[in-house]
Amino acid sequence: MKSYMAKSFLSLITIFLLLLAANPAHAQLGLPGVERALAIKVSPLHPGPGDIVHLNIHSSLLDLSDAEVLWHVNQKTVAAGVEVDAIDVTMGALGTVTDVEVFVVTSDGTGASATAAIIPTELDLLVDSDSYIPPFFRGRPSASVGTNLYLQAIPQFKRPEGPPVLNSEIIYTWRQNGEVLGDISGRGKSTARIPIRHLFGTEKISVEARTSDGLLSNESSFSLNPIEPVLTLYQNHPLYGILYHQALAPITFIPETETTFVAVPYFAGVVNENDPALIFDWSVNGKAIAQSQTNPSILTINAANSSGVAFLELVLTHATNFYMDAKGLWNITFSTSASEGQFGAFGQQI
Amino acid sequence: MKTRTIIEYILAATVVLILGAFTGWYFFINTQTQATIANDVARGYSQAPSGGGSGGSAITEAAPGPQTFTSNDSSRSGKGALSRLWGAITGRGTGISDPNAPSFEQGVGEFGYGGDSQAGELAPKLAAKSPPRLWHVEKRPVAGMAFVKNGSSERLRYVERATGYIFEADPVTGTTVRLTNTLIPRVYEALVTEKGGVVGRSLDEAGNTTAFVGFIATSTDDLNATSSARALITADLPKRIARISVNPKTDALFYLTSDGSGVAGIRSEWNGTKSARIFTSSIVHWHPWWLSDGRMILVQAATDSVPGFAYALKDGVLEPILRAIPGLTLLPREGGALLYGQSSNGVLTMFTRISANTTAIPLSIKTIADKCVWATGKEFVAYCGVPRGLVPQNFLDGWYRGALHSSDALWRVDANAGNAEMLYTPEAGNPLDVTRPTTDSAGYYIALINASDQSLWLLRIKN
Repeated sequence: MKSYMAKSFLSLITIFLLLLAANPAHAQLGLPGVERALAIKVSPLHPGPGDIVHLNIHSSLLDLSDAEVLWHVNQKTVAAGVEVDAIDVTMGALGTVTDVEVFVVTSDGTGASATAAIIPTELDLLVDSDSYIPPFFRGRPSASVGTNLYLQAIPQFKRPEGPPVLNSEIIYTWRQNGEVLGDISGRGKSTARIPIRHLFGTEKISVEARTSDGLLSNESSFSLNPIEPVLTLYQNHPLYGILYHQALAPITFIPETETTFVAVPYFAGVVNENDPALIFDWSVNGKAIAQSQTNPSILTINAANSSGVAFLELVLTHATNFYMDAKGLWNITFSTSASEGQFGAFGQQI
Repeated sequence: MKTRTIIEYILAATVVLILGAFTGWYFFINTQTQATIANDVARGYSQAPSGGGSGGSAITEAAPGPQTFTSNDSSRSGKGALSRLWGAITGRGTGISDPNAPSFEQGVGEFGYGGDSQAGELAPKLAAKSPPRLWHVEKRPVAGMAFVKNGSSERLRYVERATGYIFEADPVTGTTVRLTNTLIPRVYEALVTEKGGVVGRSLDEAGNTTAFVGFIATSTDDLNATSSARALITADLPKRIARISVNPKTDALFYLTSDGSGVAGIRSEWNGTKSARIFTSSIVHWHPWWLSDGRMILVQAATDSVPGFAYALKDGVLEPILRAIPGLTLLPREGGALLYGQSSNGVLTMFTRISANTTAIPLSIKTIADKCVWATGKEFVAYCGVPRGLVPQNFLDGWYRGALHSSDALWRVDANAGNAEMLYTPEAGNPLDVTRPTTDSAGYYIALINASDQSLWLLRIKN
C-alpha cells in the first residue's frame, strides 16, 4: 500500500516537473533571449514606394493567442489590442524609412518585442532579344532557339537621407531556373546576356540586387517560353520597296502577272534575311525552285501563259541550328491569261 | 454624165470607207491603250509624277467612283484621236480640251479620291469645292505627314513613298500641290516637322537603313521654269539609325543607333552635326520621343503580354514613368500627361494619366497608343482609332508585321474625365486601319495613314 502510494506520489512529482519544463512561459523560468522570440513577417518582401505592406508577427516560442499586441510605426501607435497580430502599412517614397515596432505580452505575462526598418526599393528587369526583325519593325523581337536574351536590371535604390545608390555599389546575382550564373553576377553587373538553347519548356531568369551592407535589396524575375521563327511573305514592289505593311495571307490575289516576293524570318537567330546559314527550300506547285546564291529569301514568279494559280511553299532551316524549322504556305492567284503552262519562278532579285 | 455619177459614187464610198477606217482604228487603239494601262497600273508604273503647269503642279480630284485605272483613263479619253479630229474640223484650239469631255466634280458622298496626276499634261479644270468630311488625300503609299503653317492657314504636307516628293494638301479647298522635284526612291518612313523640314529613312542595296534630313529650297529650279516645284536640299545622317525623333521647337535630332554592345542615344543638330552621345543601353529596341517641353522619353518596343517599361531620360539617367506594363504602348504629352495601352492575353486596355502625381484611369476603349494622338491645346483631349469588334490574340505582333489589320472608328477621349465618345465611323466597305494620326493646331482636322495600304486620309472633326 505504502509502496503504491510512494510510486503514485513520485509519478505526480515527475509529471509536475515535466509540465513545468514544457511550460512555454520560459521567462518565468528565466530563459535568455525569449524577449527576442518574436519576428515580423513583411509581405511583399521588397516593397516599392507607395506599396501597401502587410506585416504580421509570428513566434516559435511564444503563444500569441490571447496576447496583448501593440504596434508602433515611426514612433506612433497605429494598432493595439488582443490578438492584433497583423497590420497594413503604406510605404513612403524611395529612400524613406518606415520603422515598425511591435510589443507583445502573452497571457502568462511573457513580454517580447520586435522591430523592422523597411526601405522601399524598385528593381526593373528589362528584357530584349537579338533575334532578327526587319527594318522599320516597331515591335520587340521575341527569343527563339539560337538567339540571345539581353537583360538589364535598373535599380531604384536610395539610402535614407542620401543620394541614389550607384550601380557600382550594388551586387547583382543572376539566376537561370534557380541556378546561380556566377560568371555574369557580381558588383555592378546589371546586364546579362543569356543564350537560348532549348525550344521547349519555360526559362525563368531572376536577378537579385543588394547593397553590400544588405540594407537595400530587391529581386525581379522573368519567365520565357522560346518561340519558333515566324515566316512572313511580302511583295517587293518596284516603286514602293518591300511592302512590310501587307503580309501575304495564306490565300492572296495579286493583280499582276509577275511579282517578286521576299520571305522574312521574324525572330530567327540570324543577322538578316539572306544570312548564309539559312536554307530556303522554295517550291511552286510542288516543284522545287533553286534558291538564289546571293538573295535566297527572294523569289520572282512570272505567271504569264499559265493557269494563274501558284501554290507557294517555303521551308526554312538553318545549317547549324537544328531547332529552326519554319514553314510557310501561300496560295497566290495572279492576274494572267487563262492558258495552261508552267510557272517561271526564279530565285533571284529583280 | 454616167461617168460623173460613177465617180461621185466612188468618191462617196471612199469617204465612207475612210471614215470607217478612222473609226475602227480609233477603237482599236483605245482598247490597246486600256490594256497597256491596266498592266502598268498593276505594276505601279502608271504612277507618274505630277506635271508642271505654269501655276505649279495642280493635282485635283477626279470624279468619285470605282477607283480603277479606267477612271483615270476616262480623263484622257477626251484627248483621243476622235476629239482631236473634231477639234481640227471645228478649228477649236489644239484639241486637248474637248467641249464634250465630262467635267469632274469632287466631294460627292462621304469619300473623295484624289492624288491623281497627269504628268506633263494640262489636267482638266475641276470645280474648287471643299473636300468631303473624310477625304482620301493620297491613294498612293505615303511615308509620313504633318500639318505645316502656310500663312494664316495650315496645310497637310506629306512625303510620297515611291518618289520622296513632298506634296501639300489644302484641307479647305481640297487641292494638292507638289512642292519638290527631287527624286528619292523608296522612302519608307518620313517625319515632317512643323517647320516643314523632312527626316526620311530608306534602305540601301545591302538592306541597311539610311536616313537623311531635307528642307525645301527657297527658289525654283531655273531649268524647269514651267513648274514651281523646288529642289529638296538634303544631308545624309549616319547609317543604321534604328529610331529617330525630332525636337518640335528646335528641329534638333535624337536618334538611336547600335554601337556593337547595345544601343546609343545620340543628340545632334538638324543636319546631324554637333552630335553627342547622351544615352547607352544594352536594351536595343526603344521608341524615343522628344516633347515640346524638352523632355526625352524612351519606351521599350512592345510585344504582347511581355512587360514593357517607359522612362524619362534626364542627364543620361533613366527615371521611371511606367513599369512592367504587359504589351506597353505609350503616347506621352508635354507636361507629363500620358495615354498608354496594355496588351495582355488578347485583351487591349487603355489608360490615361494627367500627371505623374495622379492615378491612371482605365478607359472604355480597347486600342493601342500607336493609333492615338493628343489634340493641341490645354485640354487633355486625344483622338484614337479603335478597332471595331474583338481583336485576335497577339494583335500587336501581327499588326506590326502587317499580318493583321483592324477596321477602326475614331473616338474622342477626354483624359481628364476618363471617358471616351465615338466621333466618326467610316462607311462599311472602306475600312480604315488608323496609324500615325496627327492633328492641326486649331483642332479642325485629323490626318492619318491607313496601315493596310499606307494611303493618306484627312478627317474634318470641326466645321
